[in-house]
Amino acid sequence: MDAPDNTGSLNHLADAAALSDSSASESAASQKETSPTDMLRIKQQMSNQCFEMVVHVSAEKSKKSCSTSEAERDLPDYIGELEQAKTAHFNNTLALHRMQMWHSLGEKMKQSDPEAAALKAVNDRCMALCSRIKQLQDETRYLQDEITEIQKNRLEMKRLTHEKMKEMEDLTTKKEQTDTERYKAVLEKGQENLEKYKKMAIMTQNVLRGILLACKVNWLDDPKLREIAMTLEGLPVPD
Amino acid sequence: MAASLNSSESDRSSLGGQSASSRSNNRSLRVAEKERRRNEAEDPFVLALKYFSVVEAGTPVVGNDDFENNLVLVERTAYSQGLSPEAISIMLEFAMSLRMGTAPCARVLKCLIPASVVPQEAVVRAAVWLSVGKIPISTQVLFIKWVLTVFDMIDAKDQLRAIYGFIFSFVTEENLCPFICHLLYLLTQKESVRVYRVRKLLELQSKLGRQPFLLHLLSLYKVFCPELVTLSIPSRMRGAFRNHVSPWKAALTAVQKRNGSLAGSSVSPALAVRDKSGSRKRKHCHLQLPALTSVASDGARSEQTSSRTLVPLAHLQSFDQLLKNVHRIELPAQMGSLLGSSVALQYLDCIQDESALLRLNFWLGCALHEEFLFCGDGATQTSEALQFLSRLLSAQHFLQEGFSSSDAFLYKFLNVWDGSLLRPQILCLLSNIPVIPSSQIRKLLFEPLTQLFFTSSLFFKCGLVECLNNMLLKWLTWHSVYALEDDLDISLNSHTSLNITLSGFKDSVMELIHFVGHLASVGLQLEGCHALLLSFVLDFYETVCDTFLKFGLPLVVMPPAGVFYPAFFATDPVSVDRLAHIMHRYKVNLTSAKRQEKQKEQAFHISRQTFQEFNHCVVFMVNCLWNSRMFYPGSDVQPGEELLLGSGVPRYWASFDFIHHPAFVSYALDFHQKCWPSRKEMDLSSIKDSKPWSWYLDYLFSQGFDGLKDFLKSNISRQAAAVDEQQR
Repeated sequence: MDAPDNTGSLNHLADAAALSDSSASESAASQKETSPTDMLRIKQQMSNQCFEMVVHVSAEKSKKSCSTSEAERDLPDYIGELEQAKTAHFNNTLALHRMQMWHSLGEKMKQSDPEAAALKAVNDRCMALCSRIKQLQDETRYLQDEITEIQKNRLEMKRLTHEKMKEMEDLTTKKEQTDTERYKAVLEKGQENLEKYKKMAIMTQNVLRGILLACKVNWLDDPKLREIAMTLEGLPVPD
Repeated sequence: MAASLNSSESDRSSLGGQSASSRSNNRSLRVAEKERRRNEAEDPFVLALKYFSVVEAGTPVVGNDDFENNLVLVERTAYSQGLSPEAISIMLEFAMSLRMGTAPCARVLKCLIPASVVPQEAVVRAAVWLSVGKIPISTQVLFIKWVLTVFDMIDAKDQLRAIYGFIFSFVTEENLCPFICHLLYLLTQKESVRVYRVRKLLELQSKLGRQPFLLHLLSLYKVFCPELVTLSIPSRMRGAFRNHVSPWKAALTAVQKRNGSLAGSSVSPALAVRDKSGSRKRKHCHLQLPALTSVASDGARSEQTSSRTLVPLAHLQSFDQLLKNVHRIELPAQMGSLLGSSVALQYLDCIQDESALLRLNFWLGCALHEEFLFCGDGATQTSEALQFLSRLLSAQHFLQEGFSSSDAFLYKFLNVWDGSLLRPQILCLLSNIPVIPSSQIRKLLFEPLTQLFFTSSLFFKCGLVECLNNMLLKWLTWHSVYALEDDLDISLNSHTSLNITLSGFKDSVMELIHFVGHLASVGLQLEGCHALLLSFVLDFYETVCDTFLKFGLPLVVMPPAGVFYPAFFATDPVSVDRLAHIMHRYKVNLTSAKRQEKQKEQAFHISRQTFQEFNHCVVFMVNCLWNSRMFYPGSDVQPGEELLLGSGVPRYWASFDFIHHPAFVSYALDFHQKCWPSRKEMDLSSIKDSKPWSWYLDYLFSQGFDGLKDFLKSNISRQAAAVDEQQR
């Protein structure tokens, strides 16, 4: 990019020089004029062309990188198309094959030679089996529907049970709340005291436990210590 | 000596005035008792135990032959039959009190294989010795590992809970920390969660980093007291407590197998899930569901019957009792035992105690990951795994939903499954998975299943299609119950609060249906349209065609070409009849949906494309079967003209109608035989005349092909039928 600018400026200089020269000696300068100016012009052309080529090349590079990611995006579509084509081909082949096969089977069965008789016997058996299968399938369908109904009902029960449990919880908390509202102040004070004493109790328990651990004694052997140590975990009042 | 005793006794009896028979009975009992005691006293094992219980502190170990012999004896008994509870108490006390120094401690711990139960008292004593502090760290670790291994065999847990604080104090020891956290996880109750303990754990976390064992314990604390633990814990944590390599496991299983019957099982018969082989001796193993016991030993609780105390779940015999005590039930220490009892499951389902569910899922996850995956290849191992999975399945079936830990296990297992190990159970477990959001369904479910499907046998393919059919049924049933009119959000699981919107649910269902359609198409092509696979695929589409009317989900998805055409060209009439039935149901669903759309103006709009696909299918079927016009322009099946001409079939356009279709040609021949028995030349196209045609159709319907009947009734209007009726 700098090259054309330079040549541009050189051009100007050259032109200026040419102009300044031309006034001096036209005839002699005409030959001189063509070569440097021409050369400069050619140089500029070439640099322009180079620049265009560079642009082209970089454009093509980016086009290529575009197409790989596009190809990845299009891949599932191509796979789908491929599978559709395969399926269509398979179906066509299947249709043709079945058509031919059963045409010849039908023709065979219309005759009355022993092979045909054997085929007919097999056919009869197939038909009987098909009726039986149909019966069983109907039964299965009926039973499956019943099972699905029962499962739906059970699930409905489950949902109702959960709803009722939630309602019960809400009711009990509401009831507790209404009771407490009457004696709010007293309860709050009582609660505060309780918390305070609980904290003290927990802290004392912690300290005692720490002491026992630090002394590294086996407190199980001493009945009094054991009695104390076994109560260091719980509180008589539920949390 | 016994003989002389006998004679002196008999002398006495002859002198006495009592009846001879009772005297002799008493005498023989006394004699037997005395002999037994003497035998016991002389039994070297008993003598060895006596040695360990009375040996004085400071006795040297090195060069002590007595000690060596007795210990070898104890070890031998331990590895062959296991140690009795008293033996365990004595040996544990001996080891942990360090009476003969630290050297024998580890050795004794390694041989402590219990035969039946482990007395709680012994464990508590040993834990207290631990705090006295002279035991080397590696032995301490060994002891805790031992407690974790035999945790389910400890007869009661109330005293252990009483020394929770003492056990907690060991958490600061870096080497012990993971195992102590595991032990605490098993013992924690709501009352054990204290602010200073949470603080301690958080301190440890800042020192050791976000270790999984700390996170697990904190998550349990959070479930009990969410206000105390403000730390955010990922809901799905990878890796349970790392299962320590347990040197006792192998020996334990060997001993238990040898012993056979389970001693001291406290499961009452009423609580056990209907077990057909109940009289069979159960092998107690690690995959066994633990017995339902109460936290305290039975003796302590039986006196307290006041209304304040909690009733342990193990004491309830029937559903009525559960109802009476429903507000003061105490859950057992081992959550896994709930899976074996229907009353317990019922309770768990109603109450939805988060901590209980968390612990149950944790235990289940451990059992599935560690025990199941690494349970070895022997026949007994597989039968244990089979029993375990069957129990799990019956619990899930009872609750009508799955557990999150079993779902997580399945997603991992599918990637490594070979498709044949315990196939029915795994497929059943798979069908219990709740609705997966459509963004994850591909990665979690479809990719591993696709791999398995295309590399497996025909029977696996059928099994998988059936499993996915069941999964769809369960999702639809769940939706029809839990999606109420107003709510757009459907809860996925009654335990968690995860919700999914209706459109998200529809997306997932559609993905599933498309996936099965794709599997079915390619599967049928691979297996050459095998009739068994086709039958399972048609089962699936029988479910799909009725999603709107039966389950209330506004969704209609047509079968793909890879399923429709193989079903139509099937050689057995049952498949064609089913296809006709499915098409009929599609029509009913579509017309009812259209009607509803006009009347109620709901947001249910079936796309034009669905209608076009449906019409395309129906037109094809009617053209082929009724109009004898196959290969019409616009049909999907169009082999080239030359091929058709070259096939050698005259009138190929009629080759799939009711007379010439591979499925029905034998019926046509039979009908022809019955209708015109005198005719020599069979001319099947004579059935096409109007009267024989209707007779022929009636004949077909009489064979039980209701699907065809419904299909024809709803799609073909026959003026000939009206004429027929007039004639009759």
